[in-house]
Amino acid sequence: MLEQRFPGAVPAAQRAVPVARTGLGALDGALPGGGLPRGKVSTWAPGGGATAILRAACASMVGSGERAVWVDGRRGVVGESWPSGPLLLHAPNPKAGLGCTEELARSGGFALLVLSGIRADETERVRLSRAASEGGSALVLLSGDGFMAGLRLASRISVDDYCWRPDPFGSPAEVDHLEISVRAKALGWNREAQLTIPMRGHDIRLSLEPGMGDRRGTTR
Amino acid sequence: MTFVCLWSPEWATGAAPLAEMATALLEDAPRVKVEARGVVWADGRGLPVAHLARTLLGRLPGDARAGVAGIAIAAEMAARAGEAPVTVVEPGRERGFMDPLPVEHLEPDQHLLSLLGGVGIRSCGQLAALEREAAEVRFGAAGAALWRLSRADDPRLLFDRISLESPNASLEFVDYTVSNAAHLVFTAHALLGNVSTALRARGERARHMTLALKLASGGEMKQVIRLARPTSERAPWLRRIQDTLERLRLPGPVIGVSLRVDDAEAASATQGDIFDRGFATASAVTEAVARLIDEHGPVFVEPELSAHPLAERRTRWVARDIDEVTASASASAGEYAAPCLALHLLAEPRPVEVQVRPRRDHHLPVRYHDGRSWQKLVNAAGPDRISGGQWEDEPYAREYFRCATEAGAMIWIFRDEIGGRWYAQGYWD
Repeated sequence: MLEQRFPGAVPAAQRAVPVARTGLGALDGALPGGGLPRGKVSTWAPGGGATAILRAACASMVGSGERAVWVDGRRGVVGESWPSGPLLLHAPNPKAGLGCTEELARSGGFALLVLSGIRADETERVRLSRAASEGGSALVLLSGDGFMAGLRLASRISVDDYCWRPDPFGSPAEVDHLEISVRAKALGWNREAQLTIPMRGHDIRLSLEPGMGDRRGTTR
Repeated sequence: MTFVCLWSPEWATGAAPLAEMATALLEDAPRVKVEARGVVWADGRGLPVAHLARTLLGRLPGDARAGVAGIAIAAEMAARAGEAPVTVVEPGRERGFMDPLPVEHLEPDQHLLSLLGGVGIRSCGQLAALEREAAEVRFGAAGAALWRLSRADDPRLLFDRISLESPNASLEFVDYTVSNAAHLVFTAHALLGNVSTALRARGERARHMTLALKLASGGEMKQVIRLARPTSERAPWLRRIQDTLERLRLPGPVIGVSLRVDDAEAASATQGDIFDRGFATASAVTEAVARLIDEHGPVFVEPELSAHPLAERRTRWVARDIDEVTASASASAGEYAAPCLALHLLAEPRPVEVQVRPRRDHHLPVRYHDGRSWQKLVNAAGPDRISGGQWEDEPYAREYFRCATEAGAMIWIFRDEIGGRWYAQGYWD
């Protein structure tokens, strides 16, 4: 009810927290303080475009003259989609990945750290939270578990949110753009943002033209 | 640099055993150099040169003379033209000393000497008074070089820079031997303290060190220790040495340990940039990154893309060195600053069950089993067909589909045309 009466109000606990702006106006508007909280752990449930948004936030951070690092535990990032600027750390194993994240967060030199593909248990989250607090970094864990998180985010793409371009036969050929809804929850805070983003196709290199799929066929 | 030049008119004939004489001179002078034209040089830097010159003359037979100066040509001229056995040219007065001396002492060739005589140049001072261009035009390149010498400008490097002994420390166990390498950490810690202090005193930082373990059996076991970045600090080196020793298997008991800096560089500070927001934390980042690279290897990577048709073989991850990693974050946001759903690959294509229905010349996936339950595929774009590899290790032929599941996920699956199975290869996120 308070939120409905005072939509612009920020909870007192989050008013004084410095933030790392993601560079996405719609999303920053839905986050308490206008960005990801520095010195705190945030969690973002994997999937639903979380990686795309955080990758853009990292690039935006670098563009504003700060450092950002992505600790990748799964090594699933495709080279073509990795932006120049943010650092990418390939963790040799989950334990090392957590150790690296803690060290980098504590250094104080990174405005934004993202840990993906590694599950941090409760003890490790306490350590990460302490490191983020000491270093003043905005640490985002791609995890659905909100333990120790000052901000919990979840993004969702519905199947109807994909806008397809049809092929000459009327079948879906390419995704033109899609809608993502992001919900941010914190103490006394619950807001949603809608983002419209494009989808980057995978360039099949045997195509006659880059960007167009090769439909010449194979021997059956 | 102070040079002592020893010269005798008899030596120019080549009759005197100059090499043997030079060996005798090494008793008093740290470095000696013999020239075939009958001139012997001694390095007098940091020594009482007049006394040294007299001592050296005392070791030489005949009526040799000595010249002492801070410039080689002035010392040589002093030896050749000086009337006393030892002639010392004070610093700053070399040119004044050389000016009245005949130009023959500079040993020009006969042709050049006749040219100089032809225009009435008899002394070094007369030659030095000319403009450089004038000397070069009239007497050629050799004349220009001689003009330079006549001005007491001698570029010769007679003695190389003395390289200092690199910082090192060692310890020998007299009463006992050590069989467990991990126990040597305490010794290494003590040695590292001395080495680290020596490095700091010299304003240097080590690139790599050698840890040598002296074995009781008589051999020596050497381990080269490297860090991601040069430093003189004890802690990172100790951490690396500790790691090395913990992994080391000793072939026998150790009776001594030594630590030596193999390569060092001058410590320098980076120029700050007031517009760089990351500069204030640059040193902390460098520390942290260096620790991670030392501990886990080259974990910071960047993609190197190839044109391989298979997505899993297209990206090669290349390690970034510490300078690239810690470079200030001033790059622009680039083309991907706006969010964009991008492909992520599974570690390797995972076999999945897929239900299909026929559509035109292919089978369209309509449901797939993700390992837990069947998922309905609402939309499927494809097939994108690739084939190749006939000349590689493994031929491939695939039909790719981009499918949106009922839950809203976009997945990338393909049918292996050779094996006939379906695989999930990635997803968009």
